[in-house]
Amino acid sequence: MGHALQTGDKELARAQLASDVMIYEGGRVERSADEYAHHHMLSDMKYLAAMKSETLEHQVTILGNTAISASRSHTKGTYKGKERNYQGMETMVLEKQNGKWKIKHIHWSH
Amino acid sequence: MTKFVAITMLSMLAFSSNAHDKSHMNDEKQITHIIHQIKYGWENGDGKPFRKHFLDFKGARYFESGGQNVGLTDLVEHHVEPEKDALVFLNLDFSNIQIHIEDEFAWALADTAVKGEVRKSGKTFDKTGFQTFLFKKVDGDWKVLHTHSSSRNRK
Repeated sequence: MGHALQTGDKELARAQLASDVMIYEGGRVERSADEYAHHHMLSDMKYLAAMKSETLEHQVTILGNTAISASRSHTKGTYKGKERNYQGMETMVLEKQNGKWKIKHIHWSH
Repeated sequence: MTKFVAITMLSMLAFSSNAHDKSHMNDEKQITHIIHQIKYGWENGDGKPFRKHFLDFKGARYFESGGQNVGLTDLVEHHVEPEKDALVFLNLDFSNIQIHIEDEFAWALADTAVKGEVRKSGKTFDKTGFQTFLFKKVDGDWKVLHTHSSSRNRK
């Protein structure tokens, strides 16, 4: 998902998401893949294309048909004339649907 | 005879479905109770609900905005308990709690509202945001694996 967002691959990003994914980001919530794809996904892609992001720690735990991912990253770069340099946190819940992992929930914060 | 077998099988199916629903309700009640205990713990700077309801394991991480606590002891001793003296008061509300249960794993999402006052500076804060809770069933009891909260100033 991170790679898809960073490279601006809309189809790939959308394909990772369950249709009823809940995304928490910057104090906002998006309640479906369509809502995210039509609203903030493009601006997230533009933003991440301008940033350099390094994963500091990443833990994945699989429990049956559910998986959880918790990661911490360091992001820096300049976007719209503003320098950014911060630690970001990401929590994801994934569910296996028809043999494929789909993201059911994302919580992004920094 | 066939009728008897059919009736018995239907009864067993109904019982099993009913038992599953009741078990699911009990799971939801337990998880909701834990979330309320976490609220109490934060508001009172009391680490006991965290030690009771969180799974203490190497690799535990608790995220808040751009920071984290590493392990349960770090969360309780360097975050929860110190806030009792650092803050004049803390009000934390969880609402719109949505619980998802999949066998021995559960996750809950909640809207949050947090208000407080910093003792040293007298500054107050009033924020809204969201919280993610991840749970695992251990020996019949739900335990918190991970939490992630984020908020911004109320608009």
